[in-house]
Amino acid sequence: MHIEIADLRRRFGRVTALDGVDLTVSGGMFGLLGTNGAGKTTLMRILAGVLPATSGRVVVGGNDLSTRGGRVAVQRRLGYLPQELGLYPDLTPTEFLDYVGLLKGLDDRAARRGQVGDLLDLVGLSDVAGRKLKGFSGGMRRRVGIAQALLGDPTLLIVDEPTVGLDPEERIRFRTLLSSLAGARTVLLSTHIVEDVAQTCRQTAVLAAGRVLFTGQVTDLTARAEGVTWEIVTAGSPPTDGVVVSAIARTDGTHYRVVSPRPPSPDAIPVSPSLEEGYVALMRSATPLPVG
Amino acid sequence: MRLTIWLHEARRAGPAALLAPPAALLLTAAIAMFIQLSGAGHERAERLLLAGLEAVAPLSVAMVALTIVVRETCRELHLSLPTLHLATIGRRLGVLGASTAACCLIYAAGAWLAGYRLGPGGAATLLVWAAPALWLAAFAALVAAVTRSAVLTSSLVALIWLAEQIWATVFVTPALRPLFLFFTSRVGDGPGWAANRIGLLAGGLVLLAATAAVLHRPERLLTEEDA
Repeated sequence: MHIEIADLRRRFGRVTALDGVDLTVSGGMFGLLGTNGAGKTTLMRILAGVLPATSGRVVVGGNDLSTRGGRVAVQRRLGYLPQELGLYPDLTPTEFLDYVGLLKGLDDRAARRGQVGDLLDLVGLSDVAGRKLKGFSGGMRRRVGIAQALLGDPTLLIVDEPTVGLDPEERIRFRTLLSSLAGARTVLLSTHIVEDVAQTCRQTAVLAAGRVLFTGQVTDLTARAEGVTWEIVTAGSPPTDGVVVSAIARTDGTHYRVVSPRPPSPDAIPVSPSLEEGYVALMRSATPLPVG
Repeated sequence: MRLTIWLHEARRAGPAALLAPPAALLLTAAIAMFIQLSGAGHERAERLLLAGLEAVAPLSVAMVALTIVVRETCRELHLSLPTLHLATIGRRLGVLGASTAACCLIYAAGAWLAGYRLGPGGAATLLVWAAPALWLAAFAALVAAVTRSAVLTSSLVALIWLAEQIWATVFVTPALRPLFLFFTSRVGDGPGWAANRIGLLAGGLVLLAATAAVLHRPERLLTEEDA
């Protein structure tokens, strides 16, 4: 599903959450990176039709979100997993999905029940389908969340910070699940965890203070740290020049990876950057790149 | 589909939506029965039964209505769905209205069969409870939608209810009469009663329309502060 965003602005009183966002998303899995407060959640909410924009144009699959008709048309093809998904603790996953299915317009009882069963299988919750949600762990709740988002076989999936608070094993499992869903869909993954994007997305955008700093291939973002990423091995104090991205203590000393425009020490050696280092280099440069 | 969604919404409205009105009326009936049996008189028991229908039931309905509007753990998800969230809240309030109507009708019929006169009799008896219940519940829903605070809304509803009880003589005056909730139990069902009931019904409908207008704007329900 093609998404076109032009000069999108959203204000909350005196606070500007989005300040002239231009973005194009074509299909597959798209990662939206940014620090907390960058405006990611506001952008996700606008795309999901939860919040109206203050100004600008958002067209999703040919539907203009500024009209009621366009919003409903998108919501009929949308699966949305909000950052804070409060479930109904008195319901079982089956009952919860049945209810959301009805609200999504899945009127045929047999078809709805069949889809609920299939999705519980997909997210690995069939064994606990009859248990109340109040006893579910954070990871299980997230899986219920993704199952409800997939009801009605949406062509656009928006997931906002889905891996926050999950343990490493659950996070990997969730990422793999999201990747497997991206085949015929557009999946928009908003996160501040760079690793999630590195492992799942080919396209990405970086948002900071309500503006797009970067949009393009993940490899291009990684390339932003080419020639400015260094490794230093020292038993002494950490380098003060540049941004220390990682520090691993080994027997020969602590291995520091540093993003810095010049060698942070005479014995620093240049190394191939990771996406995280590309992201750090971009944020550090603080010069917005041309969008496109 | 129709029945299934209503069953879901009845559950989401919470047990209070189904239990609060009958519980309030049962308690009133029990006290009235005690008064009757203790020999305090048929008239006193009748007055209490009438107050239960006109004052206690509407208060319990208003408290449940504000809870329905304020309490929603999946608000953001609802706003992303093609079914209007306003329709969802409307269904839940509908469940409350239906359960209240059933309880009040049974209560009024039971009282009539037991020889108590609650209001003008016949179909008009409906207005004894329906008019104040609609007005107070709609007021509670509107304040809840605007403030999104259960504490503030319940305090305001209780304040209005109490003020009308304490200063009933002030509210009987023509200027405030369309807002007076307890006309039947305080003044009777004589002259001015019908106008008072129609005034309450009309006011209630206006308040409901205002509530719908507020709930129709998602940014009223979900702001950046919520995140």
